[in-house]
Amino acid sequence: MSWVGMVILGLLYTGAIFADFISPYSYRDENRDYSYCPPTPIRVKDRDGRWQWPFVYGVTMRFDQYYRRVYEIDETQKYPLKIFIRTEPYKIFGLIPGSRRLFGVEDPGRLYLWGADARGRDLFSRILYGGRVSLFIGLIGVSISFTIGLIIGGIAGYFGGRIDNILMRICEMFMMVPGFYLLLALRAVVPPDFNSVQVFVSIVVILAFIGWAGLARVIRGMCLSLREREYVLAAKAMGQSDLAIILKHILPHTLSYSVVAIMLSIPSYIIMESALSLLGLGIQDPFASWGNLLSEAMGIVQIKFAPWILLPGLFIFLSVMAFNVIGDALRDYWDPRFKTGQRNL
Amino acid sequence: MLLTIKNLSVRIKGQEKAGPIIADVDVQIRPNEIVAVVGASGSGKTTTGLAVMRLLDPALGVTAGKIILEDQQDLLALPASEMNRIRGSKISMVFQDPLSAFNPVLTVGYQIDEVFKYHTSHPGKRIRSMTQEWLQRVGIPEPQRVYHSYPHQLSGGMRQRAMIAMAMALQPRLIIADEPTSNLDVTLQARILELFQELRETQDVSILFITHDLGLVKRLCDRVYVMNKGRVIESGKSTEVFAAPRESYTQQLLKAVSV
Repeated sequence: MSWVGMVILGLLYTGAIFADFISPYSYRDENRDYSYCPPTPIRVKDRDGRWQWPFVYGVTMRFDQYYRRVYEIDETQKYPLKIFIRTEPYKIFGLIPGSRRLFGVEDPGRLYLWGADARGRDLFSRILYGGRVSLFIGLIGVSISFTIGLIIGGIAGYFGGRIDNILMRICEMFMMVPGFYLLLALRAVVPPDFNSVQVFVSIVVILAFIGWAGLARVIRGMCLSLREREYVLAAKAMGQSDLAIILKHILPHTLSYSVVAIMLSIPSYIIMESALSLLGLGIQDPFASWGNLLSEAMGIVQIKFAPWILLPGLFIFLSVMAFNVIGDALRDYWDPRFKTGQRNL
Repeated sequence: MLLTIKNLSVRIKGQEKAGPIIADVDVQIRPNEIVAVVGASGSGKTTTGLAVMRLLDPALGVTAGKIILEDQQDLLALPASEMNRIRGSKISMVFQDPLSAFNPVLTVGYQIDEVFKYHTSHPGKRIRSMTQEWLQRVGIPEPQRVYHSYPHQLSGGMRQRAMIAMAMALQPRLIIADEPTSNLDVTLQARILELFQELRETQDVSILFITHDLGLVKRLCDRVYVMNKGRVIESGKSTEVFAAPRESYTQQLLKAVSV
């Protein structure tokens, strides 16, 4: 099972990292004439049934008698798909410059692989760009909260006694408050005029701030038993400092647990970010994240006439599932009771 | 005197009414001497050794006494950072079970390197060669291979040699050896004891042997302290104690093993 998860995650992360190159449009490339334009299928046969280089037909819009937008395929206009099409220049993560995209069609044709949103922006492109926020918020958040959790848990478990007591009570204070309310409260502290990078960073920090306590408690428990090992005593007898002992002789032994816990907790970051963005407290338009894309799908009317705007939800679902499947597989892999059987990842 | 333990008493913290773990223990170790502390399990031998290192379980506390190193410092009065500097460099320790005394996820070489890294400022290459030199000096035939091995890849004798190399790395004045041979088979025991003797002859080091193996004491040690129920009941030159034990407990002990 877990290889399915790995493949899915691999694709999602590749898509997110190289969004500039893979997506046909930029996340902010809008065209209001194509509001909620349905997906434009890529065709290989024209209407006479002849095989052709993949192309899309043009789309024309008219209003029906209720002044609703109706899109019709205009078979007189054909826009062949172009590979490595030249567009406006971009920089992948602000580092690698480029000006070609993997595929696209020449203007005035529009390629809406998975439809368009209210402002006529390509949903496929925006999902790829949104993955940058949604997928990396989990990774960065988890690495921050795990650093904090490992250090706090390590210190509490290693020293024990009063230090342990104080640190664990602090942990419990964090765990006591329902996470989502704490999230909202902390988000309210962040100034509203932050730019997108600042918002991203602040969300990551807030999520990490909420997430460390549970881990710290488990790590502390493991350290309580690990510190009784004789090699810890031996390290002390050789005059090593407490910090060195925690870092070299205690925390590495919690690694197998930590890796599983990391895998299983990334989804909660993705979901929390989505929830924030869904409420309009996360990433702001025109920047994309899966939660913020999904927030457009809150009205029943939009879902009825443009069901494809639910697609970001599918991506949240897929990534969360993939992380859980991999985390479960890792847990089985490291479970000593499982050793007699097959040990396949 | 290299190390003087004076009137050392250790109790369980918060249980003043209960009897002490060890009481009024006096031990003296001269430079370049091998001293044994013998006694049955629970007689307080190990506690004495750990008290010298100041590595007692936090539930135990020294209630009285002094541990004086080289007639100068009282180890019990030193700040923790100072004590850390002494551990490993002036006093170090060899443990009973070298398998559990090495961290299983780090190579043996790395763990010996650490001792140098922590106490000296030599560059990495030099530390590495010093570690390998020590591995060779304790009688490990392939120091290169052992350097890169994990503890579980070595035999028990090799591991104990590596442990001794680690303890000797900084050429301490005193090694506290807490039953260093009880987990080894008899031939290996003899070899390790030879190694200790050799170290004593070639290096300026004293060894405090904590053991219940009287045969070993007779062969190896200059002086012996017999402990029972937390007290030193008899002490003296090991030849004399073995020839004419004064206390009935010592007599019983000797009779039991027929050295």
